[in-house]
Amino acid sequence: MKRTAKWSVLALAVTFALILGLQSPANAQEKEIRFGYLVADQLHSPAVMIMKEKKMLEAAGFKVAWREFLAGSYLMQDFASGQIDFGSLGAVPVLITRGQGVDVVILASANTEGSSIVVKDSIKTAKDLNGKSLGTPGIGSIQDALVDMVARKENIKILHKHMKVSDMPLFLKKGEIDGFIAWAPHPARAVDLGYGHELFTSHDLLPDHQCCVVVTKGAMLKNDPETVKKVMNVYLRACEWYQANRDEAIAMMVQKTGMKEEVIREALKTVKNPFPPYCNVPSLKFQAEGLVEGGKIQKDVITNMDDFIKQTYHPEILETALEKK
Amino acid sequence: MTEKRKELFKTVGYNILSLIGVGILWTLFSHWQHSPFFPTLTAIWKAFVGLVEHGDVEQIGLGAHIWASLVRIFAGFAAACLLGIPLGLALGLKPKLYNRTRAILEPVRFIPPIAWIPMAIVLLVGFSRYVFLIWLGAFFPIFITTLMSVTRVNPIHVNVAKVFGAPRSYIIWKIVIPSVLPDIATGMRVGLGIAWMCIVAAEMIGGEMMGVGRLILKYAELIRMPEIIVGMLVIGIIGFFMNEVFIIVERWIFRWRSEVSID
Repeated sequence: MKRTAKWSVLALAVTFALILGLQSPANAQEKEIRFGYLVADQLHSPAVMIMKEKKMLEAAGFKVAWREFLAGSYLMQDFASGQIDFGSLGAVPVLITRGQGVDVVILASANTEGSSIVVKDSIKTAKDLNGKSLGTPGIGSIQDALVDMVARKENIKILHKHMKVSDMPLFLKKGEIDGFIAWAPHPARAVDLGYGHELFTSHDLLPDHQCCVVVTKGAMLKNDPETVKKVMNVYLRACEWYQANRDEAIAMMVQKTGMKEEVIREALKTVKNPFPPYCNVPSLKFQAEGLVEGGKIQKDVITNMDDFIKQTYHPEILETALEKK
Repeated sequence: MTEKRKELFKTVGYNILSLIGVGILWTLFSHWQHSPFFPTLTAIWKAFVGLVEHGDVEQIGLGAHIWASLVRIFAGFAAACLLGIPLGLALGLKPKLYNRTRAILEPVRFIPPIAWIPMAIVLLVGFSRYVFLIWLGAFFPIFITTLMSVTRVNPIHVNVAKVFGAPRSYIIWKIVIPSVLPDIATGMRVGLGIAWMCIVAAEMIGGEMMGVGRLILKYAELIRMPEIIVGMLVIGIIGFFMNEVFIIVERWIFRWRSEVSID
């Protein structure tokens, strides 16, 4: 019996050692980072797409584990569990997550605007949306918040049906929703397929609103600012590359999304990528206030909105990186 | 007090004690963690009251979410029973037919309902989509249990009937079906459990505003653990009560079975 136990322990130890041995040894020079991004979000975060495709972070000495997510809220769930170091996603899920006490901070902007509401042909005005159902990427998304904004402004009730952005055109075609709001290029794709027409762009609803942002952990910013600086330097280079090589970037987007070039070009008309990539602070504040009003961030969490935004948005690293240039 | 009643009191008492024990452990752990991601029992209770009194962030009440899920589950489960039991019986009675169609039936069994989601989105609409995915989950336990139980019918009973010249229909209705009914009931119970497991996957598709799975996902997006746990507990508690009711009904219908007990 004792012998069997001994052999079992030995077998377990050997198996464990083998498993450990099979892991690829990390280069001592390489710093490993985990970068989360959203599926089919190349138009909103072109710099992240470029960093990934051109292996810019790897060239800067990082070993990168790229992780793809269906929506920002899912990325934030992994972030909250410590599985992600950097991410690119909508500001709204970041604000919601920060409101829940997660140590997430915004470093830079990825884009402003860039979402549209596409509806079936019978809907002509905002008032026509009363009692209608719109697909949104989720309760914790900027798009969902924009629909709330339309409803409040027009004093109407819009039903929110949450779904994957890539499924939205199909749901619209099948008549399961009356319209949807999504990030580019999905609205342009639905219009191109003849499933509906564009009612509003997010520019019409909230001009220059902050959309996607680049985030990291507050603890990382404090304990390992060098890594954050290096990532931000690469990010800035990717932003500049995008400004200088637009056609090549569009070709990348066509390849990544599988959509036609004219759809991508049409969709890009709704997206702004301001450079230098500072965030629109009043817009962040406005969005956070809307989230508190809508009950998505609990009221008692935020005592002072300005402080909350200051704690969330840290442009210092970006400033330093820009000064260096 | 009879022995049986004493045992019942003991069982209930121990279950309550276990619950209190888990509650104490949870409380200690949540205070030790002091994290919004491991909420205290008080926070969970407050979330439950909030959901009942004011509804979720879209003002949809907890009752409406539960009702929507229950309707979907019953429809999917009923469809699974309606197809799984007759098909299991038919193929159990005709083993050759089963063996000749195994190449179709068996691989399908291993495809998880979640893998059918993209097809369900394209081919089905609204309610039917949920029913289909729940049906997929519940169908195979019911079908396989029925099928296997037919092959395990005591051959002595069948042979005696044959010796006395009983027709095939008599053997099926008077011997096979009564013999397999307890196993079918077990298969249905397992299927019902899986149906509950499928509801979150089915409701993940989206396109509907209500359902307990939807409620969990909504709050997962807002990273609000107390409400998520309320949704999880609702599924667990409803599933538990449904299972208990099923066991009571099963015991009553097949009470002849409990007359023989090893312990």
